[in-house]
Amino acid sequence: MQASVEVKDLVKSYGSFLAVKGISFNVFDGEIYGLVGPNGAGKTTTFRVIATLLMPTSGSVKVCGYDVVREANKVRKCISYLPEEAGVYRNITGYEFLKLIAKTYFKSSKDAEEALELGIKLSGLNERLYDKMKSYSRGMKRRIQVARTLMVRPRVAILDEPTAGLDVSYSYSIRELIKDFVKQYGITVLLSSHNMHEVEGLCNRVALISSGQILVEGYVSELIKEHGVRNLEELFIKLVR
Amino acid sequence: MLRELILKEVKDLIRDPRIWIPFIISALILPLVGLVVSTGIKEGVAEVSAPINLLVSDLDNGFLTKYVLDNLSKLELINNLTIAHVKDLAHLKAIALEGGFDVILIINEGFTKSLLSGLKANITLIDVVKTVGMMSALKSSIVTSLLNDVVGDIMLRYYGLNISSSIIKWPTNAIIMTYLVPRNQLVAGSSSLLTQLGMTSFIMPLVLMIITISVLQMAATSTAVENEERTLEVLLTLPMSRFDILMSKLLGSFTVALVGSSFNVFGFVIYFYIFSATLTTSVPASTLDFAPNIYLIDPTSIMYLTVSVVLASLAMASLGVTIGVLSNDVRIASTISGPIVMLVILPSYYIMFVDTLKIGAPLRYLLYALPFTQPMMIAKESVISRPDALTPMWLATSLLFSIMLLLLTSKMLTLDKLLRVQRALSSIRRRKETLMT
Repeated sequence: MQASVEVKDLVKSYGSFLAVKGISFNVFDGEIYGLVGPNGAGKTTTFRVIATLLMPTSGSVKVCGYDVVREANKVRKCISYLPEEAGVYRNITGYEFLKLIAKTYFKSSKDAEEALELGIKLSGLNERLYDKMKSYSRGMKRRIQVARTLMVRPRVAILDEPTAGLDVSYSYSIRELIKDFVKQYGITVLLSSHNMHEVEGLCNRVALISSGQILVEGYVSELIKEHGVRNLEELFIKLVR
Repeated sequence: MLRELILKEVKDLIRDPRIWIPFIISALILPLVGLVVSTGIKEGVAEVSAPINLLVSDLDNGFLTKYVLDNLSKLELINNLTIAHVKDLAHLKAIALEGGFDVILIINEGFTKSLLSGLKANITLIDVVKTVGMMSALKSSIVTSLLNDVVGDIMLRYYGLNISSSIIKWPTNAIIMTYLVPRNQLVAGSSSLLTQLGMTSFIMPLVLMIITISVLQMAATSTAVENEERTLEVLLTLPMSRFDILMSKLLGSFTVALVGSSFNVFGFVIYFYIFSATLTTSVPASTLDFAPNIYLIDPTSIMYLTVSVVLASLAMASLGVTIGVLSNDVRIASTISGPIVMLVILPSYYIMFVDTLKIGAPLRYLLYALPFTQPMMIAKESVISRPDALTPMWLATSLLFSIMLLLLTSKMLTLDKLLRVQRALSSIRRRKETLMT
């Protein structure tokens, strides 16, 4: 299997503080890979490096075979990134926002229109899509951001806490949307979450990260079996405590 | 209870650097403003208070004229009074230029006769103006006043109380004109009127600069909002270059601001045109030996000025984008914008007061090249002379300035660098807070 994301000995420091302490992992084509850990574990920093937003202090990161430092522009063409606290443009309608994204990624108007159609469908906002985004609820904003991330059918979608702060209903709909989308388009997804049940239900493989280091990595079912726990949450508590 | 709340409010405000930084910066900048303004004012005051070199063309040749001129020459404010009996204006102009005279006084034929008949006498005064400044060109007014005093005194002694007090106060009918040396042109009206036009020419760009400040704030706010609303992270991962992202910010803000201020710019240009036209067309051409131009400020200069103001707006937008990129939120962007605007406008005060034609070449070219001072230079020099011959090149320099600024900012537009700047600002804030507590 080919790796869409290759992280090797990644170190990232902010001044004297080491946020990521030499982690390594691969995410293979078409899989949903979860990075799980407590607050401040280094998940967002790792995602930001993969998304070309931050430069690694040392180590290497390749996405779709391109180096995130030397070939950042090529990396940006094959990823789509959903930050944990992605905001929206208050005075732009959801429709205008999706159209802008479609036109940014696709030169051909046919491809852009197809992406826009997909975005409209994924957002599920119906007529509210034509309202200014400042009137959207938190769940609606997240939904449009998820639609924005997936509609361009990236080779790698990086989703940082896609359901953070959402109620059960919205969280469920976003999880289903991601699952269906991966099944249909075969893209690679790299996601982080605090919700262990969510990770268990969505991801093929996971890495448990704490204080900038990966504690364990592997298939969810194998990890549960190997550590003699009932679920991922118990494993998490066992390892982090 | 109220005391505690007030205390909380004071602590909350005083610990926020965004509140006190502008006060400190203003305190530092204001003395600088004073220095710049006083330099210009000193030059103006020195010019006005210098004794006047007066060239008199005595066409009357009467005994009263001789008496008046003799008295006038003894006054402290008159440095050099030279009498010529020349009717030809071109000849007078040449003598005035050669002798460095400030004012030409033409005593018309019938001066003595009119006064002896108890009537007002006709005189013509021409201000010889080499530059337009806040204090320049008040000399014809001084000469008129001195002349009226001398003549009024004679009239009072000659007629006693048998004459109207208005004749004693204002015994002359003065036609006042201004000779613009750099452009070899006569315009109607006193040079104080010209100064008004000069004022218009450099105050209006200042007004326009204020409009361009709105461009800066709009650009700064719109970029800072990306930081505040957390949309920047997504923007930076889109498949487009940093320069394109900034260019879109710049051109977006600029377009909105340009549409918003286009009415003001249009109104300003029309105003400028009409004002200058009124001034020159009112000159009685038959009395002059060189024909005045139809417009004091030619269409090319007005076109240069318009383009320059537009480019200044673009540069302001560019600066705004840079400020926005460095700002965590809108409040910080506003905090930084205020003092920067003051710094940007500061050189304009200097231009307002000094004789730009006398500024040394390096500084003069710098003032022409910088987009923030260029409209002031063009406007001021359009009145007295013509804008610099290299103005098209300076306009290109102004455009280049905006592009270079944007290019430099695009190098900073990485989350790494922004976080580093923000961390540095936070550590300064924390240090200050520790010192305060």
